[in-house]
Amino acid sequence: MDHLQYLETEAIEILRETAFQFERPVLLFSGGKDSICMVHLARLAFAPNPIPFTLLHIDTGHNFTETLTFRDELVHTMGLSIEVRSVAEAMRKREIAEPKAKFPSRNAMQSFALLDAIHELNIDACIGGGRRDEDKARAKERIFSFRDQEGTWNPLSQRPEPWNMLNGRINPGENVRVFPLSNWTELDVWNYIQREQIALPSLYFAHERLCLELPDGALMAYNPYVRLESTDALVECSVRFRTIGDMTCTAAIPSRASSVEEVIAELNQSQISERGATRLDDRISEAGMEDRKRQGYF
Amino acid sequence: MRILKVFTCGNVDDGKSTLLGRLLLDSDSISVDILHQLTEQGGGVPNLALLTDGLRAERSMGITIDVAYKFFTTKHTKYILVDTPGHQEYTRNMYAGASACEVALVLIDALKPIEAQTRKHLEIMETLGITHLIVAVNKMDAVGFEQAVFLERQSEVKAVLNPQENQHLHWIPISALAGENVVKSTQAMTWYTGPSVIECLESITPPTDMLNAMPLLEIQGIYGGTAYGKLLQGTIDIKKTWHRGTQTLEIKECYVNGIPTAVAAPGDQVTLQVSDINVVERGQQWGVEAPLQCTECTVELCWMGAAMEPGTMEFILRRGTAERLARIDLPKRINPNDIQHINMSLSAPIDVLIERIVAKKERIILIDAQTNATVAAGIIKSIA
Repeated sequence: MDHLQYLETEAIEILRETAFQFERPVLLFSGGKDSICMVHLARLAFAPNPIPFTLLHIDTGHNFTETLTFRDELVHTMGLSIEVRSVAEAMRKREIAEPKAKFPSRNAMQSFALLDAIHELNIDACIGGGRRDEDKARAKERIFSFRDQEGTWNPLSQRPEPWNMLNGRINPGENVRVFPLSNWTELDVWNYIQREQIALPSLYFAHERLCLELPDGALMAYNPYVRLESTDALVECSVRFRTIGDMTCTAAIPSRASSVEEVIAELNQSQISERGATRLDDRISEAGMEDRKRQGYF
Repeated sequence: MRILKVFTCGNVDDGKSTLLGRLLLDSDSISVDILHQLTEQGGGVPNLALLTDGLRAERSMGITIDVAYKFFTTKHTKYILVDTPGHQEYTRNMYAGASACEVALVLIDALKPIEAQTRKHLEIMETLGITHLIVAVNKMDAVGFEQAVFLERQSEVKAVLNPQENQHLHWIPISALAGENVVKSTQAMTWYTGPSVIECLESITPPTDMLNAMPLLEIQGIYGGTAYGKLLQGTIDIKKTWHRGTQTLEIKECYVNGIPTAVAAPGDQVTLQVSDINVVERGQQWGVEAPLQCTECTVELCWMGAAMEPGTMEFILRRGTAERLARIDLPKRINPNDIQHINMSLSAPIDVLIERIVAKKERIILIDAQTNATVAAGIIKSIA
């Protein structure tokens, strides 16, 4: 079995275990490449029957238009069902003020909307696209990752998963986060996209875009939410996105890679990690992801 | 590209995390931004252990508590590296991390005679049936790269290792800190002419899956009138009749990973249209010959939950996708990390094959019915 076949088989087994161990699982869909791959894998896992998961999009309201267009087309052509929950709404409910920073990211606030949705829809499992290669806290997380009634992850009392035996038993109000792509790397995802010819939003490929260049060289797509200062210079350049998140916290990278093959060649040359290259908010601190996950994050 | 799953083990502070860091660093698998961070934290030289010690508690205590997964690739292999903790109190995490791996990378400290915890890890590998062992004697830099020290450690390990069938042992003197014999061949130990750790890993061929064994299928679930399962061994041939107890089943159509096919190989996730879906249930095993039914068995358990006093108790047992209640007679107190043979009787039979018991492939976990925590893992040793 070659490595992509192994990873595909492993992900399919995890998706099936989720379908057969839980009552109301959802597939968290962000419009990014990892969640698009998961939809593809879910289709293969259950074919010829339809995907037994509803998609759940936690919408920050700061999405790229291209992401939303792609999402709606995918849902339509594949006949999927989707729930969209608003982060802005969850913030209003909690009387949390909009962030005032230059790049006002609602990224960390996604946990509120997710926890509300879990409660409202009585969700017992959330399938997410997190990968262990993304971050050192994620590298420690189980495939079936238990969350208590408050949505808290306790990294020091995780359920062991010998031989990948996944224990999804929970009491009412608790839930499990499921990570079928745990053992995939960014490059595995792209090689799989190439092998399976999976369509992606155009943002992943080189295009001309008006960007704001930050002092450290990061390129932020110009967008209506950023608070421009008089000294800021906007430049038009050829860029693509390595990850797709909020417009407010996802940096673009200079690139001329316009096809999947060219992206793979570019990544093979790249010296920078995926998150390091693109996520402003992940640069905050070493334990940033662990702390956020403890509070209910994806 | 193939996949190879490797775990590191050994006593605390033998340098497991440092070795993994070194493997990643010298194979150019660490991004410059991450390397920059490690170098800052190490005060000028990269602190390799911090690459895998990903939790606050681990960094503040300076030890590995739970398993970390890291990946790197060579031209032919994608490695899944499992960094397991060395501390006695986290032995259960080592057991869980090692369980699915094909190769053990055992670290021995050149500075000290081998200790109880290393012996425990070697015992666990035997329990799990892991036959490819790379024994790396680390910190050779701290003993002047002396061959005599290497040979002394080697004989200590040999003295406690029980020979197993198909065992493959590799002995390598290394310095994870200095990068000697990890990826790059040694400059300092001219008396050693064998492979480096990475060269050794590249040469290992894990045991092949059971292609020629009697075909055996495990059912994951039923959905939309279709059976979903996993081919545990053998191949699927649509013409064959499948058996379980006195029941029989014909396969009308077979899909692997969503694609219609007439053949499937061991480990494949299959989707089946069958002659009678009403006899199929999650947890069953169907074979070209009917599997045995087991209600009484002896399991070699690794205890992962809180300590239990002797007595009779009940847990939920999972074997593959089958779930049963298991009644256990605990003859003596069992503590976390203990490995013990325990007899249990099940609320209803599970399907088993003797050849899979012999091959250590009948694996179980025990779940506490109140807390739902996984409290033990083990391997069925015999059935009544």
